[in-house]
Amino acid sequence: MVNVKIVKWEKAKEVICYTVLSLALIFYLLPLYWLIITSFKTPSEVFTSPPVWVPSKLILDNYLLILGYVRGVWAEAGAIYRYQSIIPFLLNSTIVSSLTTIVSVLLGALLAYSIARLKFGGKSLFTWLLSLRMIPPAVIVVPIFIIFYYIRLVNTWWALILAYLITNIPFATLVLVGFFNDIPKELDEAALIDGCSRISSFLRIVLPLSLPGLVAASIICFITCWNELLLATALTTTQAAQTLPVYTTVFTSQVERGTTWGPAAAGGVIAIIPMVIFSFYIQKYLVRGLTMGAIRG
Amino acid sequence: MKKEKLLKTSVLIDKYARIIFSLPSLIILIPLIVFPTLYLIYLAFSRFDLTSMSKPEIIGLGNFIRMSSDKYFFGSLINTFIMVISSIILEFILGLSLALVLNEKIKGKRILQLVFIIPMMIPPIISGLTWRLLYDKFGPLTYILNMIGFREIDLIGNPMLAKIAIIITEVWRSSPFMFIILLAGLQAIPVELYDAAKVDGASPFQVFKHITWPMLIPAISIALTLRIIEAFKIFDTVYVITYGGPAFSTEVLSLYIYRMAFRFGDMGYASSLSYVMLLILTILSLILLRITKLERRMGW
Amino acid sequence: MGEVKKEEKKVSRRDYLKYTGAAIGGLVVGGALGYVLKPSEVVEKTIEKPVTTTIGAATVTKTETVEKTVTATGVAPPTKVKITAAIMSAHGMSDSAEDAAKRFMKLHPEIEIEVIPIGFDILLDKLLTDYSTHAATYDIASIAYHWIGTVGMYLADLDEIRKAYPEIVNPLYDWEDVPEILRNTYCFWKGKNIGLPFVDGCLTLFYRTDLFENPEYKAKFKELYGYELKMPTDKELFELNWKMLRDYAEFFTNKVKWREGEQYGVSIPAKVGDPLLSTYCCYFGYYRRSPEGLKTFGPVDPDWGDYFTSDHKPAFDPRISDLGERALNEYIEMTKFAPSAVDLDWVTSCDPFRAGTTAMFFGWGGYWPYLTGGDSPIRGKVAVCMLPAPHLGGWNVAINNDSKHKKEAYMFIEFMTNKENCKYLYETLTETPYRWSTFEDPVLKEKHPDHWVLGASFKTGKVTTRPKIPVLPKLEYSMGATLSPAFVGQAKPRDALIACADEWIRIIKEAGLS
Repeated sequence: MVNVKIVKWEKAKEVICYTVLSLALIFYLLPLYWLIITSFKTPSEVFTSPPVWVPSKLILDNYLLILGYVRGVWAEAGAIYRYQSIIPFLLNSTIVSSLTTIVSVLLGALLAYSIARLKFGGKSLFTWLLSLRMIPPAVIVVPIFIIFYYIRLVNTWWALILAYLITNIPFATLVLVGFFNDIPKELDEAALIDGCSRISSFLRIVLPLSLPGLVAASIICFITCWNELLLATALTTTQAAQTLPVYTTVFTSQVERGTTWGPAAAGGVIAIIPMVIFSFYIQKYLVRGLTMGAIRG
Repeated sequence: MKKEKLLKTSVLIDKYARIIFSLPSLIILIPLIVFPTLYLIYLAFSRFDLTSMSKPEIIGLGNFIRMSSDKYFFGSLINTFIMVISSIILEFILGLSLALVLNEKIKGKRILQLVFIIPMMIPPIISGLTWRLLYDKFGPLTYILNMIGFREIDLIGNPMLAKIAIIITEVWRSSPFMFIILLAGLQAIPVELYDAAKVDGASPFQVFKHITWPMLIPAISIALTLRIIEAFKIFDTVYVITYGGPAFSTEVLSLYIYRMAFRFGDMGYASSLSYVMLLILTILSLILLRITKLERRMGW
Repeated sequence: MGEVKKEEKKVSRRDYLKYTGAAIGGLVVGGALGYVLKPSEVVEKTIEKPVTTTIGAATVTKTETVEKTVTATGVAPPTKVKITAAIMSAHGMSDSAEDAAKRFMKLHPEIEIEVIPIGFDILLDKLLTDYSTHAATYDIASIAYHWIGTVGMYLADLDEIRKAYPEIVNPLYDWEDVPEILRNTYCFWKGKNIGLPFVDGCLTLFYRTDLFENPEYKAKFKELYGYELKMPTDKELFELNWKMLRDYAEFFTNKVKWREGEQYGVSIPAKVGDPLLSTYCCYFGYYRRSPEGLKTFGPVDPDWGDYFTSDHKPAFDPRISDLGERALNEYIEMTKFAPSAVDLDWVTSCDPFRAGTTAMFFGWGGYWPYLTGGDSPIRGKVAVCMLPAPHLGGWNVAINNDSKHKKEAYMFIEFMTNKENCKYLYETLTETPYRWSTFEDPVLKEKHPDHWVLGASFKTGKVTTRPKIPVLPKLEYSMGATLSPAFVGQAKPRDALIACADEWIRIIKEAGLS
């Protein structure tokens, strides 16, 4: 009796699992599919009824348009379709994200070492850092904007980097404290007794052993900066410093030019490619990184 | 004797080391935090209208008095709470279901995991853009709804539907967060417990109620805490899909502050709004952190 | 065994790190190098002769004295003055600016102009940010006239520039050529001349000629309503009123089937924000400028516009007079004959008309080419006429007070907006003009069926305007929030208007204006 019940349940479970999985796959992947396919569509196929799931014609013109080259469909369109090239924005995003990440992880590692090994600060420092991590950008945007206005930093890379450091240094610190705590204290102590200085033990023992943690923290920091919008829109005015998310908003307000969702989708695809690549690398330590050590992935 | 001497010197080195290691980050962090915070407080008590003034002037409690009768402020608070609560509930259900499913023996687990975390990694504004494409009046979702029988439907133009649209997008974007944390929590449950339950002849529901759920509570509380605080800051999605419309139905707190500061130029009032948002969030986090004892889990 | 496995794992992770690090490093280095080593443009300069331009029937000879710059290859060209212009990107405005910039740069090779197109929704935010931080990112900007109050204090006084550099002022510019209302609305603020008119636009009525000239429909209409189904034309001008338009809309929505599938009498926007503010101003302005309105509310203050009485109170307040409520009721009723008006803004309300599903359309004159050109389904079947009280939209170009190149900026905006360019841009890029010389040009009248409306609107003297005061964004926002429930039946129009008036009074008081 018991066996039959279990077998029935196992079968039912399998069906339920695969149903849920399929529904979930559709739910999560369909929008992405739509985004990608729209970026290759001709303008006349973007919004049709019935909607075009498999376009009759795939064009690269949308991508060329946002890179600055008016070709194919857009050259024929008659009206002068010219968009700002996405390249300066890509550059800005890359530089701002990279510099913020490097500084955050470096300084974070130092601070994390002093918290984990040197008993610096205490619960209050920890709580303070945690709270910094959680500050909404909407709260700091106004005073930061005005302060940067007074020191003429608006619309520069530094404006964004400094603003992003506020949340990223605490984040990197908290993540790395967890990873450092994993490394047995005996290792450092052995090195110290052998005559190593603190700094040297830090560089030669702790850092290499916590490499996965450094990578995880770096990738998450990079992603956070790459994706950020509110501060980026508020603190920058031209392509000299605007980042990729801001570029996307350019399209949603240029709707007046007629439907140009093709290039908008193309911009979207370009923006998500690095993130998809990163998610592959970071899978293993993602949970640990995101919960700052509270849960081991 | 030698060991004592060595230990003593290492204590000395420790003292210096502490400063050397902590200083760089603190030198950068503290000014970056202290100045804006002080300035925020200063601005919150002043009037600074960019359209007609070039310097702030202090007006005491004026902004806060204005806020107490500002129905747009309360409206945006309510909107924010509604969206946070709805999306969290849905995200939890979705994340838990997926975690339970992926905890079983499924083929291609790793790839599925990878696929399911993608919505969380892409810039929120791109996820907003993606759904904006889907929600458009002439887009696929409207078409499908029309076919089912709902005619004359505009997912973005109708106040009630617009809220739902935003919530769905947020759920899509953030449920992977719940999913991976809950999955990690599930994977941490020792298999022996399940085996013991099997031997005892427990039904699947009993297993869930008495083993899975209790062991999962720490992970659940962490996921909920982090996610609630994050959800409160919602901005990007609304910015790109509805920009607060139609008729204020999707105006969230972050957006209201942003609009007040950068379109109306009313920096003083925007600062006082920010200040209140900070207070609300602090209280919220304190309550949540207390309940979940997050810090303890993180190593303290 | 376990140790070996661990080693393997460590190695593979290190490989990951290496590759990622290398990729990021490569990107950063490459980007930095690319930025630094960007090839500087080498321009070949030619010597210019005096320029004669022939536009339309008029041949205008303008001799421009040009500085000759001859550069031998290998010698670095003298540093150019670089100025930036932030121009709104919709319906060809930034394209017109770019075209003008190209021609200007040919005449003045030592000046380089970069036109930055910015979308309507974010333009005001960007300008406010740039101006208030004195970052001087944009030397020139196109400013919608109702924003002038908001950014006015950051704009340069053009008279001062003219005084400082008298040699650059073009004596043929001809101020009188610009209609007075445009001069007052676009160019002046608090007595200062802060801009030059660039694009004007009046809310116009577009209609389907095949429907309104159909004898069968005309007969049926006369039968049902008792008067002629007719639209004013150039040859036969008469004044429409809102009741007539309402009847037309009702007729073509319910009373006669002129199309397979959905049909509506009119397509009008009622979306919260700029569309609602402007269209309601159009409705209310009609009453504001009527004799009764002028008596009750006093003359219209050019800075405060048609929404206010002469002593700066909201004129649509039902407690002052019932004209506001009447206008709102008519507006709301009109939306019943239109496809989901509350969701539509300017462009999206244009599409149903263009697709052929509505008989009329309230929109900006600048949409004419979109509706009648290329592959438009209704081309050849569209005509325009004036609304009962044409509502003014439009843009000027203004100079940033913090700009370091005010002289060159002034040269450009004066060039961009002079007589020849007004005509030229209208002809080539159909940019709506703002000068009598263009309005009255007989050749243009022949070529463009929509041309007569432009001048005729100004001749009526009933052109209505929006407020130009600093708190305009807040007013626009609160009007949207308070009035839109009335459109969906969630509030009575009278209550909505009272709420709106109270909001406006509060906002104005808080700002210390009155």
